[in-house]
Amino acid sequence: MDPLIEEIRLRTGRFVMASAAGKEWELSGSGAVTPAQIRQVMENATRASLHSAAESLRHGYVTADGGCRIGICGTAAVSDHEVGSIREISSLCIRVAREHPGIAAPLLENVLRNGRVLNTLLVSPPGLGKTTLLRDLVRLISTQGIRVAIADERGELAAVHAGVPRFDVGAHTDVLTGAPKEYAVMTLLRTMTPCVIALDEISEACDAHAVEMAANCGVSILATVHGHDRQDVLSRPVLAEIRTRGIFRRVVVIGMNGAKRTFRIEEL
Amino acid sequence: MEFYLKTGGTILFLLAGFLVGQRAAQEYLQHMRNIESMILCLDRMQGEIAWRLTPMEEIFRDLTAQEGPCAAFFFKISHAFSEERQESLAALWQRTACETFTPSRARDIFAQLGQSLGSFDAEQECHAIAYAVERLKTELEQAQEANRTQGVLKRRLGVAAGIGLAILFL
Repeated sequence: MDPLIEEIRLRTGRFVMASAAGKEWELSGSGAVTPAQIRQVMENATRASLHSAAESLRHGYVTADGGCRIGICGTAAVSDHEVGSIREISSLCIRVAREHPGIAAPLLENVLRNGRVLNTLLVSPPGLGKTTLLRDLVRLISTQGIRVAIADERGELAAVHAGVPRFDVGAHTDVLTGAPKEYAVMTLLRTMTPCVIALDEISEACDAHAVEMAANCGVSILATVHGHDRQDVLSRPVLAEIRTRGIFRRVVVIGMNGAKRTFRIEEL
Repeated sequence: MEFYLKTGGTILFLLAGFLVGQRAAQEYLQHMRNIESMILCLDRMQGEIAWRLTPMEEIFRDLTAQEGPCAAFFFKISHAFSEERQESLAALWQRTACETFTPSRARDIFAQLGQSLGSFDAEQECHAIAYAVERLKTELEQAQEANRTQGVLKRRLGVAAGIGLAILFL
């Protein structure tokens, strides 16, 4: 596989497309994607257990072994104003999960102060590597002997399979996979006594509430959020409480300079 | 000496007739056991999917420990699952069923179920399994009836043939 590929997109009746750095191109010799191939990809991704992935499927994705998140489009099966599942799947977006050991090394001294991790928010538009950066930051912090807990709702951060994280998240890291962030944070606080909690993608009010809960308990927080810059993110109503209370001390904005990623660190 | 030879021969003919009858009736018993084992495994599979949303791989692995003819089927499926596989679960299930069980309507019902596994939500899968179990139960009743009539008949025919041959021998 081309190491630059970030996403692979399958759309019924169209050629397979690959994308990286915001560009999308056709994979030569792939042929038009058939519904049977889409079904086979789904079967492989869920290891023939679509029923086990029902909750994530309801939210439009499944996570395959290895932490690759597969976004799904199709026809939503709605019952009582709630999406029960997605049927007749027409498009898949496979996000290739990768480890980049050392990518967060330049950030470490800005995130750690006197042996304590500062609450840090990683910001970028989709596809620029927030999750990869967070994963490596967790690994580096864990390597310092600091206890980290990951609330890995989508299974992308640590990609735990059969109880073993596929990605290196450090020797002092505990991972709770699959649980909603609010539940995961409460559980981790009660059971694992972490010094740091890492959460991927704060997008809903309940996620923001989870961050508040962790902050109230004196635990450091590392989190990611979609956005272009600090103003864009902190002006959102969902993050209003977090902004008012000044929970986050650092914002790391991920950008692109040509094909290279850049990190801009802002203090709050 | 002649008396002992005749007595021995007669006993051998009777025993051979009995065993041939038993062997002929055995296929009915085996068929019944296959269906019973299928029903038991599918019931357990339905429970695991409905209540625990257990992944298929884990269900297959657990069912290899089950006693009965289906253990071999699930062992093969489980083994194929742990390796890189090119075929779908439906194709794998169908092929393994055909390799494991002797041809019958029950085997076809069991093999067809593979089409409904792995690609649907829990509710749909449970419906498909329940439907297969219902049809297998009907097959089991017919197999029990066949065992009662045909099985007994074959055993009796075997014994009768043994007696007939023994009389001719004497």
